Amino acid sequence: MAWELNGERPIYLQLVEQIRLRIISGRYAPGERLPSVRDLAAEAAVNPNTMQRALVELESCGLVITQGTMGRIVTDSNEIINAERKKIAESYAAEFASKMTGLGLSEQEIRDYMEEALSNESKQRL
Amino acid sequence: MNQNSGFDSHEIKAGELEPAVHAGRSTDESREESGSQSVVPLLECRRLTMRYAGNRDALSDIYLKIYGGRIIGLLGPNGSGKTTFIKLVCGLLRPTSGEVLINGHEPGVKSKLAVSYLPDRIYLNDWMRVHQLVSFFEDFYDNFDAEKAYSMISRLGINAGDKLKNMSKGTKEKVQLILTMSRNASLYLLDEPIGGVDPAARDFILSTILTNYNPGATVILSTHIISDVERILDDVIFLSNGKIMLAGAADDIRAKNGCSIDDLFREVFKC
Amino acid sequence: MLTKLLKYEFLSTGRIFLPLYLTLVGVSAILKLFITIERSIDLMIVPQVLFTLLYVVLIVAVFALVYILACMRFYRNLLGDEGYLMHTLPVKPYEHVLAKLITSIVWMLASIAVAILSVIVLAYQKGFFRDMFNMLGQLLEAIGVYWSKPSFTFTVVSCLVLAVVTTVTGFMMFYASMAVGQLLRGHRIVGSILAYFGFYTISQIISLIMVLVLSRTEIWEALEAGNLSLINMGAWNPFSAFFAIAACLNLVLCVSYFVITNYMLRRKLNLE
Repeated sequence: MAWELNGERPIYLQLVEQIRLRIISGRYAPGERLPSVRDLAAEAAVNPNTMQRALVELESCGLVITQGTMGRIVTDSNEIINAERKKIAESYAAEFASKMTGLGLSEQEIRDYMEEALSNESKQRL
Repeated sequence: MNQNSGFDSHEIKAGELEPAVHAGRSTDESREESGSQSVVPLLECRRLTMRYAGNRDALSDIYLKIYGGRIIGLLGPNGSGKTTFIKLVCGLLRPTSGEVLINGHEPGVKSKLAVSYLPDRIYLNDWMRVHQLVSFFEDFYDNFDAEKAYSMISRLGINAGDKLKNMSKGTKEKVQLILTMSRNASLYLLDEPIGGVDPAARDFILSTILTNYNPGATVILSTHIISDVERILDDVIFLSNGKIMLAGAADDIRAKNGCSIDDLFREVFKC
Repeated sequence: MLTKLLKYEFLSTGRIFLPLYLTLVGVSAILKLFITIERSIDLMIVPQVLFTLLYVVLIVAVFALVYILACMRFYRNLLGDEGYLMHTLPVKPYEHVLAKLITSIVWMLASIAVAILSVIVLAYQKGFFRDMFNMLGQLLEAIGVYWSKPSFTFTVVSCLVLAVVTTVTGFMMFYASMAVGQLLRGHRIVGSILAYFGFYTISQIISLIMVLVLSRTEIWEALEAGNLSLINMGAWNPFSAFFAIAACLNLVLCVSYFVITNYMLRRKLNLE
């Protein structure tokens, strides 16, 4: 999963979003130690200051914890992770709902489309 | 105070980023200079003006304060004064009026030790071999890291015994970049480092800049090709006809304008 | 820092001079061979003429190159693209100028030495060194006799000093011309030539004034009246006085050129 960044929105916000996704998806496991700011920045090809800012932001919402000079770890509180997951899922769902409704489809049609997409997705992941 | 790996984060308060680039006579940014920034700026310009013969102001009345630990983009179209500015900081030009101070001193022997400059041309003597050039830099700069240079050279597959004149232009440019970035300087000035360079080389250049990042040093990158570079910039300075049009943190500008720095640049500088 | 600059100066210029010196000595050795054989074989006349020509060309080249290379090196290294490297080194501008000057002087001396060596090679025959030492001995004896006369010593010394100072001033005049010429953006070489003519004119005017002033006999009388009590009467004869004063004037010019060059590089540098 590569870092996808565009220049149109503040980079640090995009980094916050992508790290949050990685935590929620489990790519960074709960309690796992994160790479150093420099390494993360190099991986994402961004400025270390920007990455630092993103991590500070993540810290303030509790997803990431600083351990003094030893770096940062992902929170091991499943509550926090689940809460974040819920927030994002709700926003994805709201976005989906508003877009599909904007196409002029009926509720049943929308559900049908969604079920089909879901079954395709699970087939792909097998 | 956030104590994190390798960062002096006095400038980062939770959620707030103090601009390390102050431009303009009065600090009309909403953030005040905190007590921690009463240190001497790494680079300071006051009323800096450069006029060439013919009454054309290449730079006029520049006020600027720059601190360490930033990657700054000096952006502007050709002829906006970027190279003139860089030459003034390096001591290759004397200002017509005003002053430029590096760590509080005028350009001189001390500042040249602290500044590492990469011009936009081939400036090394052709007949030397790569290892001779490394020795040359080692001889004159006591903050030159020969080991780092050799490791970068071998990583690129360049033979240290080759003469510069037998290399392609792209390889020569990479050698120059390696030598510049192997110095442990306080201020790196890169003049159009990615102009006319293939994407792989450009990625190498950008990743070299990032991996060499050191919180005590600042990199000023001048370019007119912004989209490839903007994601690594902390701060940007827009230069037009010798004047600073805009200066500030890149992410703040993105948030304020709702577009990329590249988009803003095109907007501001459209003919 | 100056020693480091000198190291790279010699590294860069030696690449050209050393092969040239070797060639010169080699050619003179070959020519000597031809001359020796010529007595027995007539056919050798054509190659011998060619090599004589080559020898002459090389002798001229060896001295001309000292000046040509001094100028080219100064221009390319300090005013061309390499200037971006040199002028961002943590080195004071006057050290750059001094390094170039010292290098040029050394190559001039080296060229003289190699030229003498090549002459020795050419002129060598059995008993050459023995004859040379005898001649040298006789010369030293004769000098010893005259050395006690201050007028002789002073004249010789002041003549040598003049020769050295004039050579050094010659280099500095080229450097100063280029340093001034680079002010003319876009036409730097033309500017250097104009500056050179300017300096040349000034130096000629100064020497003209000097000659006119000296030719007035009151000055001679004043000099010989010995108001310079350190020197014996007679030491200041027309020749030694001329040499000494010319040397002093040249020294003043030389220092002026150095100051001008340093000023231009420090405050008026404009690369590209």
